[in-house]
Parts: sequence; structure tokens; C-alpha cells
Amino acid sequence: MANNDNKIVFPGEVLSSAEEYVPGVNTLESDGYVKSLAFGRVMKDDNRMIIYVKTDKVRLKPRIGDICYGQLIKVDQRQAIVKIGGFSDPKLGLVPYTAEGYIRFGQGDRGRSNDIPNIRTGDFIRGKVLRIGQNFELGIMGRNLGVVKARCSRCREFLVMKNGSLYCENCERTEQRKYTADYGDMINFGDDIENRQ
Amino acid sequence: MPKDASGILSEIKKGYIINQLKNGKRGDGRSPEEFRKITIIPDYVKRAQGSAYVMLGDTKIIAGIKIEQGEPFPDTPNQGVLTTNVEMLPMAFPTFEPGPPNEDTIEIARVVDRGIREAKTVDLKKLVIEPGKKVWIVFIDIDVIDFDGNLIDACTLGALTALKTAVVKAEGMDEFKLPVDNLPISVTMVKIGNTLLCDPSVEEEQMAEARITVSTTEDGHIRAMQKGKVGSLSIDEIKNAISISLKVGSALRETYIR
Amino acid sequence: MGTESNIKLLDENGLRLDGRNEMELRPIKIETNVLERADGSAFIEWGGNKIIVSVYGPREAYPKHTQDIDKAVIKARYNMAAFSVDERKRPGPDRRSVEISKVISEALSSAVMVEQFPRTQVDVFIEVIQADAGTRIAGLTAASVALAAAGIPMRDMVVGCTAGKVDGKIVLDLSKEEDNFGQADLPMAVLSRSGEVVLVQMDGDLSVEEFNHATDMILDATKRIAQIQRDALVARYSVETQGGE
Repeated sequence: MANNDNKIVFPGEVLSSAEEYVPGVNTLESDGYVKSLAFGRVMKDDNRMIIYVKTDKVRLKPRIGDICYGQLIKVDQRQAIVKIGGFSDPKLGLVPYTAEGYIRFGQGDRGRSNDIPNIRTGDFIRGKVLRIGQNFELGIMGRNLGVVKARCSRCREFLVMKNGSLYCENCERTEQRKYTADYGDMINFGDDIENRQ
Repeated sequence: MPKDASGILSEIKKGYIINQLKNGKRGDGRSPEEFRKITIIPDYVKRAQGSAYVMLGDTKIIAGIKIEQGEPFPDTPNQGVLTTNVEMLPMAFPTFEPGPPNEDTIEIARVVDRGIREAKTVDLKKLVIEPGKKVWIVFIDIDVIDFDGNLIDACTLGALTALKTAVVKAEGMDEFKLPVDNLPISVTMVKIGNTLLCDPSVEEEQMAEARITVSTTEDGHIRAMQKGKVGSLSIDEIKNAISISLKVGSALRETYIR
Repeated sequence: MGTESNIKLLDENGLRLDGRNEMELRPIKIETNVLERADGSAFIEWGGNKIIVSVYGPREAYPKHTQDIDKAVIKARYNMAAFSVDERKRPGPDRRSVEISKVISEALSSAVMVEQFPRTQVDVFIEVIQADAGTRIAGLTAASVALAAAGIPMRDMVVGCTAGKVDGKIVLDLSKEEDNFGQADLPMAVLSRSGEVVLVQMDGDLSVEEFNHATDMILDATKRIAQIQRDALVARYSVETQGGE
């Protein structure tokens, strides 16, 4: 159990001796003491004997499993490059975040028939963070992941959902995509996605 | 073209926002013609000859006036000089970069300038010290410190308030209030779907097809207009924008610039 | 230092033009989170100075060649508003503001845990809205608060103060007139707990004894200013927590 004694601390402040607690997030061991590295509240995990500082700022980095939105800027035989525009935070909604991600094509991620890719450059996608490295690896498997908005590859009008497939009203033709269940009818950008599966 | 982070997000949210607008609702619950909360603190910078701090929703700007002596332009030897400069500071938005003003910044400064110039708000003829040789130069400088859309209207309100508080002074000369009258109020609207929205937030600006600013004076005349963004407007939409501007603008004038 | 002049900066009781004694600071007020877009921000009023500081980051360093694979790069940008000084300041960087930006960046780099965020940059934008002597120190003091408000890990807070010599006497926190017509100006910033110096500049004429006296005064004053920094952070924190719960 984390025990929160609600004490507000500042960078450089001594929190405990190094014998009492193990330094956790936003702390540093120095000269036999655990010191705070941030402005925030002291948290103590007495089971694991960890002391750490919780800031009131949202975390700076997305985590594995987070939902993000982006635009495909390049699709080739092996992968798609995604320009990430933001992450969906349960509390804050869509939070802008500039980063680059990629979707690796393995089995099932790509359409089978004639190897026609069912995601295309320019598509807007909802992805899930699978791995965090220099760039984010994203997955688009699942009913609620994939293309949320796409343009007709011929006339660049946005495709609309019609009878269960994506349709260009201008060219009067359909296109294939790995689209999300809520394509064209997004109401919720974050926390509710999982519940709808 | 790949867009920047906020551009991608606004594209993704666009369908949702248009659907909401069909029910007459904006993202923040405003009606289409409603401005966000406006707070104006006049005389905010004592070191300037006139100044104002303006908060328009989360957009925050500081306008300051400096008045110095200089030469008139050769074609207007019997007039003072008015210049307007806007700085979109990098502190105001994650993608703003330091450096000389870009085209967006220059457009905003020129539209604000145009309204004030064409309404003859500042009586430049009274700013002559020695005809053809020495006149007063009025610098309107505006710092954008926090950006959430509609800089043109925020900057116009700031410039007007700062001009109204400005005093011309120099060593060995009589002080006098800057001659200011006939204030132009600008109202900026964007078109999303088929609706014109006043005082757009940054999100609304990004997803809008077209933007239009109409500056009007108390006599009901139009003093400056500017259409922006890549989309188009019909003549009827522009006429509608003008009547909205007159209506909303006179309410703004009564409340904030009186 | 400014030109020689006959202006008397101290009266017969040793009081200064604005009525302060030699140890007295001008009024200082700090507010945090004054801007919506920034990751952290602070507004400082120090005497007649009005300065806004905003912090963005850590974010990917751009352009890419400025990235450091071992640590974050702190990029401070000190800028004066055109209307912040008596004579209109032409917009854009000049040699003075570039130098000040550099020494502030370096001072903050010694406090921020830069090694935790390789390849990123932390932008610190310091905008002087109204200048009234001591802007670099006021800006740096506010920058430290903005960084803390942004939740950026730091080993210590940075806090600064100036001292100088007027009419042959060492005084704290120079006013504009004292800065213009005094005989020495010594801006200094330290890590608030350890007292390690992270910024020092000096111009004018000081004896070694005078320098020692001035630094003692500065160190004493930074303790008072550090408390103002902490109060500002806590004030906002409690308001936000109450609102959120």
C-alpha cells in the first residue's frame, strides 16, 4: 500500500535517510540521504520500502498500451510510418504529442487478396502502442483500431461508411481499408474505446 | 501533406465537431455568435506610453505603445506615422518558433493595422512636430504570450485599449493624450460545415475551411476585411458575416471599449 | 557601469532613492501556471520588473543535429518586449539578449537532471514585459519556478540576486538608477540548498573585501527569495488540488 502523508516537497529536499527507504521516481540517493528531484508530494510504499515524489503534471511519456492517433506518411512492403499527432488520455481526452511511429506488417496485419494494402498513405489511424524505443511501434489489430478517416485514392474526397464498406460519393466506388468499428462516427476518443469492443 | 501534431488531431476530431454543430453546440458549449470571456487590463506596462493586457478565453496578448520622434514618409509630410507589429512568441504555442515574423504573423499585424488606419482612429495630422521634417511615430507592439485562436480580435482589442490610454510625451515638450477616436471593432469568424462561428478557438481555426474578419466602426461602416484560409465563402455568407460583425461588434464596443 | 554623474544615490541616513536600506530587497511576487499552453510557467514581479517565463519539454530536440545522445539540452531564450524599456526595443535578438540567454541556459543546466532525458530539449522562454534592472536574475529565478511547476526533475532550485556598489557602499538588489549610475553590478545565482554558484557576472569596480561582502549579502538574500519561490509553488498546488478533488 502506498501511504500518502501529503507532504509537499521541493527539488533538493531531503526525504529520508538511505537506510530507511529505497529511492523511487523523482528521487536520488546522495550523501546517505534520499533527496527529492521534483516539486510534488511525497509518497511512501512501506511494503517495498520505496519513497518517491508524485508531481501534479501529467506524465511526459506515453506508455505501452496507450491509444494514439496519427497519419500514415509512408507505406511500403514491410512497414508503415506514422506521424503521431496525439495520445488519448482517460482524463484529459486527446493530448497533442509529436512523435514518429511505425506499424510492422506481420501475418494478418495486411490484406491477403492480391496483397493490396488495406492502409494507405494519408490515412488517419487509431493505434495502440506496442513498443517504445527511438520511435513507437504501433498495432492496429482489433475492432477499434485501424483507419478512422481516409481519402479516396482517386479524387481525395473523404470516404464515408456505406453498407459496411468505405465509399467515395464523388467517384461512386468503394475502397478497402482496415477501418475501425466507429469509422465516420467517432464520439469518444479515448477511454471508452475498450468498453465498446 | 503530413500535418503537425495539432493538425492531425483536429482532422480526426472534425467529423465529431461538425456533427455537434448541427445540434447548435460548439466544443466549449458556446453558441455560434458567442465570444469567449474577455478580460482587459488597461495600462498594464507602466514603462510603455499606453498598454493593455487582453485575455480572450485562453488567448493572452499584451499590447504596448511607444511614441518616438522621427521623419515622416515623403508622400505624407504632414502626418505622423503609425506602425503595428505582432510577435507570436514561442512561449505561446508548442509549434511557434523564434525568429522573424512569418506570414501568419504579418497577416495578423496588417489586418489589425488596417482596421485602425482606415477608421482614422489615430489622428495622424495632429502628430506633426515640424512639417516634412519631424513627426511622432506611434509604434503598436503586441506580444502574443498564450495562443488559443482568434489573434486578430484579441490584438485589435489590445491595440485599441492601449491607444486609448496612450500619452505623447518628450523632454521639453507639452504632454498630450494621443488623439484617438472612431474605434474599429473586428469580429473574426470561421466557417465549419455550413456554420459561421465567431471568435474561433485554435481547434476551430485549424479545422475551418475559411475564415473572415470584418472590422466595423460605430457608424455601421465596414473599415477592413480579410478572408483567410484555403476554402471559399459565398457572397451570401460574406453578407451574413458583415451583419454578424455589426451586431456582435457593437455589443463588444459597448462592453469593452467604451 | 553607467556614466559618472552627480546624482546622489544615498541620502544622509544611508537610505536609497526608493527608501530602502542597503540590505533591503524590492517587493517580489511570483505566480505559477499563468499560461495554458506551456508545460510550466511563472510570472514574476520584482520591483518594476514584469517577466513571464514558460517551459516546454522535455521534447525531441530540433533541429536533429542539436541532439545530445547523453542528455537533454536546455535552451533558454531571453527576450525583451518592444515596449519593456524607455526607448522602443527593436524586436528580435541582439548581442546582449543572446549572451544572457546563454548564461541562463548554463545556469539551469546545472540544476536540471539533464541526463534523464537524452536527445531532448527543454525550452525556457523568458519574456521581459517591463524592465527595471536585474531582469536576468529575476528571469532565472522565475525560470526555476516554471521548471518545477512543469514537473521537470531538478537536483535543486536556482535562485539569484544582485548586489552592487553605489556611492561607495555595497547594496543589495540594484534599482534602475543604481544600475545606471552606480559603481559596480554583481548578478549571482546559486543552487538554493547547496549555495553552489551557477551564474556570476560582474562589471564595475570592487575591492576583494567589497566582493566578499556583496556575496555574503546575496547568499543571505537568496534564502529569502527561495522561500518566495516555494510559497508560489505551494499556493498554486493547493488551489489545484482542492479544485480537482
